[in-house]
Amino acid sequence: MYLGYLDDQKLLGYPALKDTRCGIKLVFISDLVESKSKIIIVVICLEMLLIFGNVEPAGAKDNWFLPGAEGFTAPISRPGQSSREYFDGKPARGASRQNPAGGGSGGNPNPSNGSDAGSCSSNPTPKAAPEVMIHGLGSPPKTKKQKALEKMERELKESIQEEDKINSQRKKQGKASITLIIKDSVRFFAPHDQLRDKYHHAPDLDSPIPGTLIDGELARLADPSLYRERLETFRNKEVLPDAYVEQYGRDLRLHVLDPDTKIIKGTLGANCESNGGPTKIEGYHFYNDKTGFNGFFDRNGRRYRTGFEPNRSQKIDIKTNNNMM
Amino acid sequence: MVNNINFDKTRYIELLEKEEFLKNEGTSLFNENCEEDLELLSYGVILENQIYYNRKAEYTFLVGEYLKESSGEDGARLFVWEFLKIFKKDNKALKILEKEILQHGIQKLATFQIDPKSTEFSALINQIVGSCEFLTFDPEDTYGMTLDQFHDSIQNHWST
Repeated sequence: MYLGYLDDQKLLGYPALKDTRCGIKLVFISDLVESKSKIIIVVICLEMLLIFGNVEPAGAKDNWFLPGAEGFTAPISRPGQSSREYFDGKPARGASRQNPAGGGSGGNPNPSNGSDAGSCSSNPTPKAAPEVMIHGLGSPPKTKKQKALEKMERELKESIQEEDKINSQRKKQGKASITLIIKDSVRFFAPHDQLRDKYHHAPDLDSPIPGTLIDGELARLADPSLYRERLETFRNKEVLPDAYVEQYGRDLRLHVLDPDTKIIKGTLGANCESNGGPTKIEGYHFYNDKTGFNGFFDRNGRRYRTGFEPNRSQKIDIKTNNNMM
Repeated sequence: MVNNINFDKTRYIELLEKEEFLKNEGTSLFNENCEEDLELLSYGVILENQIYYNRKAEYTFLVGEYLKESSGEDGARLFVWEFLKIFKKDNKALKILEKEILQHGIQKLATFQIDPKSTEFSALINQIVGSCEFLTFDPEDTYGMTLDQFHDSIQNHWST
């Protein structure tokens, strides 16, 4: 059957088609065997049924793949869409101001969106279709970018699976949760208490911020009584729910696994140390020149220390001295 | 960071445009030419320093309030949060400025004045940002700065 089939049949004047009590085909045949002229029409219609009989009716109008393309594997990325959106189900940078408090624990990488990479979108974007056709028709070898994205997907899945196991164990032991990142078979850990302490950098990853923390512009704070009021807000432990910290961890993981993120072995705080500050920390920078974000994990324990979008002078420091601050 | 580079506006815009072109090509100046990337960053530092300096009053207010109040862990958390918020806003302001420069050309920089004191002030801001990063409330964290050390460092940076 094809789109508008029923309308066409009505236009041809087959009243039987209006009756759907026991299926269009059966009524259609039984009503038309009365006269010779009608038998001819029955034959024509049966031929039509044979021709169109194998067409999948359900959902056909919603399928944005062109016929024949459904047999090919869809590419991981879409033009103009970041990989983080694909694997984490998270809106792209600049569009993630959603409240994550509605869920998100366990293996689901996205607390506010139930869809995942494998599910069909109810509102697919037509701009993806050309890329599907390009990759589908010739089945060319995978590009470097595609391979990198597939690697990211594998590492993300592995990280989430292992993290679930570790966190269920830690929960039994009464310990705080962690975000686990497995990159190139090496494990990196972001304890949630550390993420909480570094939450002031969450906007740099476009992680959602609770409303209580968004307030507090300096003009308002300039009034001493309001400054104290703001201080009270910070004393409230409920000001930053766990769900926000978890989302921040997931965003950090996507940054680390992003194929555009480069690993730079270096230090944190060499300048501070030379100015009489604490001892510098040896470790690994995860720097992404496209997003501008840099995350740092120490060498001992591969524990997350901090991460933010460095300013220009800090970028120079990273690029020339493998150090930040 | 001390920046000794002279601000060649024409060269700066040329590099900005090159970076924009490469970005649209799916690459970056960092990937294609490290020296030019560093040169562009160095020009950016000059503007960045001035942007921090333009907001001197707000940074001064925050540091003053923190040192005056000395309200323990929560006061330090509030200070870090608010200080870095302005700092990040300023970093974003530079990005916006660069976009405007790309749109409107050298005219956009015609009214942008660079104060020689901005370099020194920016170094101070960067030191405080460093202290904010090392502040820790975890007693087992041997790398970090305790609350007292943090308070002292802010005081020392500010008094110099």
